Amino acid sequence: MIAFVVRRVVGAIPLLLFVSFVSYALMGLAPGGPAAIFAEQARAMSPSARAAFVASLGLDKPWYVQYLFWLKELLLHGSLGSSYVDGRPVVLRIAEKMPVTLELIGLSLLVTLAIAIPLGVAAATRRNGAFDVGITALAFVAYGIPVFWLGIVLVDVFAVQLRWFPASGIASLGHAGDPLDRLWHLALPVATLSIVGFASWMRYQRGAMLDVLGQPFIRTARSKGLAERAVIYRHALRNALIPIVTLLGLSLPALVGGAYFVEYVFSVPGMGYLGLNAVFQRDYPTVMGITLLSAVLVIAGNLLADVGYVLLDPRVRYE
Amino acid sequence: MNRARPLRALYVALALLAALSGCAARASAVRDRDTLVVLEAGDADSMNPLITNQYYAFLYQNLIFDRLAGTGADYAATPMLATSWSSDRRGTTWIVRLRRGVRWSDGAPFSAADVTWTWKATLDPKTGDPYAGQYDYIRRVVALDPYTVRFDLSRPNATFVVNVLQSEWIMPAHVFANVPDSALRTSPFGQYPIGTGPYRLVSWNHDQECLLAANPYWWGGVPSVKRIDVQVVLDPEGRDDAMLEGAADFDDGINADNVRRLRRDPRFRFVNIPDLYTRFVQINFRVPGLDDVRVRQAMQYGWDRYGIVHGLRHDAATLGASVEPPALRFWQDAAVKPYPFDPARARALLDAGGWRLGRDGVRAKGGRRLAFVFSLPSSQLGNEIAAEFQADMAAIGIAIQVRVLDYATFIDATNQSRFELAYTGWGGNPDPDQLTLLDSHQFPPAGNNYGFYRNPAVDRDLEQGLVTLNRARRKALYDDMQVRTARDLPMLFASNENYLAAYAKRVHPTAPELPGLYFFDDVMHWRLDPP
Repeated sequence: MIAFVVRRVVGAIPLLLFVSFVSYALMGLAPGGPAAIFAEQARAMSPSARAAFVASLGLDKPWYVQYLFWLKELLLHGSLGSSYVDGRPVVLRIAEKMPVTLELIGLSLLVTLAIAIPLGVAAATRRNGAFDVGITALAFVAYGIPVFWLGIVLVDVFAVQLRWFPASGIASLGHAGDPLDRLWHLALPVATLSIVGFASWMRYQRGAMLDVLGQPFIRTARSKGLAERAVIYRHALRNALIPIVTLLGLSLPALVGGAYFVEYVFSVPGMGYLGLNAVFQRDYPTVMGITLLSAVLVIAGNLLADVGYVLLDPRVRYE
Repeated sequence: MNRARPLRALYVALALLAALSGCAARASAVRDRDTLVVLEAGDADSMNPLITNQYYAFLYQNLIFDRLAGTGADYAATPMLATSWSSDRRGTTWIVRLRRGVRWSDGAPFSAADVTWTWKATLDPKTGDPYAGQYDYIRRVVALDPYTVRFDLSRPNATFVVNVLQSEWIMPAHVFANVPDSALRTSPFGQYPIGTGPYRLVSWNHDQECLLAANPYWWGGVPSVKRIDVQVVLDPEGRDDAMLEGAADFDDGINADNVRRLRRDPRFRFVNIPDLYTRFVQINFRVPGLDDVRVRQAMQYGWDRYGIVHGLRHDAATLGASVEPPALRFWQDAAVKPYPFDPARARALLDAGGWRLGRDGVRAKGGRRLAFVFSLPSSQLGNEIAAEFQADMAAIGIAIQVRVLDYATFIDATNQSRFELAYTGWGGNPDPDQLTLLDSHQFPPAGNNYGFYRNPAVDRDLEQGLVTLNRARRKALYDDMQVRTARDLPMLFASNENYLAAYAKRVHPTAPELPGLYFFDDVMHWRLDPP
């Protein structure tokens, strides 16, 4: 098992290198660099001053050379560099924003599971009935909605029209440390992620449940006279949760990606908000830091899924 | 064991959270009498004046640092860290006398060494100060004694007082004793600034809150506003709510829609004053058709800017008439008036120029159609203005294709002259000099005349204006320049946004009528009633 984990971690290194290279290339090839952004506001900047400024950030070299410098810093000094915008270490900037993103993702996952699991079970036990068909149709609609669009609609309805929830931010004035105020602010972002997310979880749960319900031990449980409720929740659900747990890891990429858009729509000051702003400001070091971290999260999620599978299902073994 | 239990626990927890969050919805914030709660739509990147170039950073730096000279009525220089200044007859040597008894917010004494260090760092290319390029005429800055500094210039420069004494914040040399200039960008000073200004930074939670308190060492005495609590609220509706709930005192930079909503409430006062920024449509003279002055004038006559000012901006804007920003009243040439909206005259000009209406509704001459691309950076207001412009131009037979770009791409395109018409602007500087933008020796890559405008008489005015220290003679040059550019139209004048703010009546600002660089500049002289 340990050998397996080590092998997977080592195997992830070329993948991370590839991701970082492609990200840097995309950024380097995009029109408008950080110098243009700075120079715009200081339009009186003379060309020689602009050249000096560009050189002071190392941006006078082609993007692939800049990439090698970036990589060298990372590999030799373990440093993700400093932001062009405020000069602070990228690690610090990300660390500051990460808790909010993790909070948003964590809450969304809780809400999603709380909705999806019972719906999945109910759909499976009423297979092909009106409920199953209805909820499946709903799930497909929800699954097809783009996160940012749903976010904007929820803001318009619940924040602008009805004024039940705030449209942006994570705290009211003077309530910085108040957890309830925070939940009130996170309600719409969490709802957005959960509505889009519940569909696939519900379908997975339904499928897993159907698999389990068809197995002999369920028939045994029923034949020994257990109540249907006990059969479903104590025997079937317990087994049907195994594949779901492994999916937690695999769902990380979608959650992280979704959270980025949601943060931007709702002005939640998390990693996504930082990242998208960094893209607009062409703050390469920050963009790279966040991209790399997201890639690590995705790879770690996959690994967790595999490891979780082994831990939960004694029949699975990795050699 | 009952496996269903974890699921049930999850529901109970969620139900509790939901119920509790409902209760938290509305509770009033704790307010105190001496704290001014300010709402901002964005946050500073860094407090380090050497690397920043952004509105919100300037806002804080104004309060934490001092300049050599302050800005008074009509943007005239007033004493600040310098008590007096004078130049030789040529204007190439300036002697600046410094205030005595000034201390940094860490208690260390201020002296001429701080001024010379600040200028050494600003001018060193390794620092990467985005404004360093404006100071290429400063040869050296030397301390004559602890309270006297001499600036040696390679040529006289009429912007010296505005751009050097009134603009650059002085930084503490003792903090940077062992820091090379190349490391100034990443110095933690940007998060923990030390200045001589009226306030010092107490705490800063990026993108959320920044707390400033009176600097006990400030040379100007004890401000009536003891603390400033800046709250970053990105959403304009959220800022309105905070004002209406009484949770904040001052909303810095609202838009016209906010004003309409808050105006119904008698608890608020408003600031609505012209700004130092000019908005315009830059013209690329290398695009055939746009090089014809009649086409440019026709576009200006045919553009209904009243619709923008009254309709879109609810009168929180003015019609642009000159390349000089509306707040620079002294330098505005009174003879230069905005072009009226006159589509008939626009058509007559195009007819006279031989631009005949084609069957597709677009005018053309010799096979060349009057069809142009109008580029702009994405913003809601910009998009609305672009749509109006497009419709107005169609009415006089000019086809406009709107191209909305992200900010960095837009800047890149204009800086490389890859545009036909670009909706942009400039300003922020209380000085009439526009040399890098309009002088024909400033075509890129040498300068910032991206549209390749050329008029030798304008060149002469701008070049003379930069070295003429006599204010009346200088004004005559810029008046002439404004008359010529209003006729030539190197850009189509758009509408200039006013600075708008709302504040609670408990706040008594000193001079709300001063079209300030930052309305906030003199907050240390404001007074607060109990909330």
